[in-house]
Amino acid sequence: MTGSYYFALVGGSDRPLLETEFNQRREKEQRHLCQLIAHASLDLLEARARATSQCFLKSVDRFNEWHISAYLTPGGAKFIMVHDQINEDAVRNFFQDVNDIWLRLRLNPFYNPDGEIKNKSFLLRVRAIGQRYFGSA
Amino acid sequence: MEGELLALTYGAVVARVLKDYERTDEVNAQLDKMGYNVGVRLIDDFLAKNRHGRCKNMHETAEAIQSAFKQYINVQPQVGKWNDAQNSFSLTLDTNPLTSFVELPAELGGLCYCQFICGILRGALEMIQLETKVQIVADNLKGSSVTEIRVSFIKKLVDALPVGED
Repeated sequence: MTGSYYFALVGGSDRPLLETEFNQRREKEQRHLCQLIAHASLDLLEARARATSQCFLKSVDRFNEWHISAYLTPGGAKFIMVHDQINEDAVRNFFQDVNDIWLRLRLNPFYNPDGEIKNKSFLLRVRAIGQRYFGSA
Repeated sequence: MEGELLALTYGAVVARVLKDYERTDEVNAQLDKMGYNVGVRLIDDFLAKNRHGRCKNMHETAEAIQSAFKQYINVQPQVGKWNDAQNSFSLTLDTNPLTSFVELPAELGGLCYCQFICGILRGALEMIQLETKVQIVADNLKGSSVTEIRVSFIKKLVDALPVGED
């Protein structure tokens, strides 16, 4: 049974720049709950980041049945994944692939740093990476 | 490593000009003007480093431009697509060092990102008495696999003597 995953890319000023879901089975309210959970875990994320020099912070928080995993890029952007099944390898690979395309986006002179991501090809690539690691969306 | 610095610097310049002028046709004109200013100065440096001598026809001019590309931005363009009168040709770049990290957003479809290079060529050729029209006919940011710049000879410029001199 494939788990459901909610991914948020949060910028330096704690603003969400990108949100997307994979295998979301339940209703629309689920997304608001996931957004709340992800942002509530930001403090724990930063505390864990101070304690380690790794980018991948593994599981930083739990909320009922949801696990929250996080990845902190060297540039300060935070990747947060809210998921109901533990799948550390897939999440880590997902974060690393998204980091690669995130770097390319940051080097694009037409992308404002910390601005909302409207770049369609970036969104399509994130979805393709998610489908590769988390099964069919 | 210096290729990346050039690409990022040029990208920052284009983003700044875009913020100042907003409309893509004005941005294209500004990039062309900036390139022209660079070209009129660059030609002296090029001629000093390559004791080439006068070019007798457009073929020799095209070869000189090819070696200039190699010298300054380390890419070798292909010269081809000559017209019947042999005064118009295309420079084809397989890799474009300026566009390494760039993805053009949909609303900037009219932007000629490499207009700067066209300006450089136009300015340099004008300083050696050749009036030319230089434009981009294929852009690797807009779906093409190569960047193609068309150089067309218009006329030879003659220095006008100041009034009162013979």
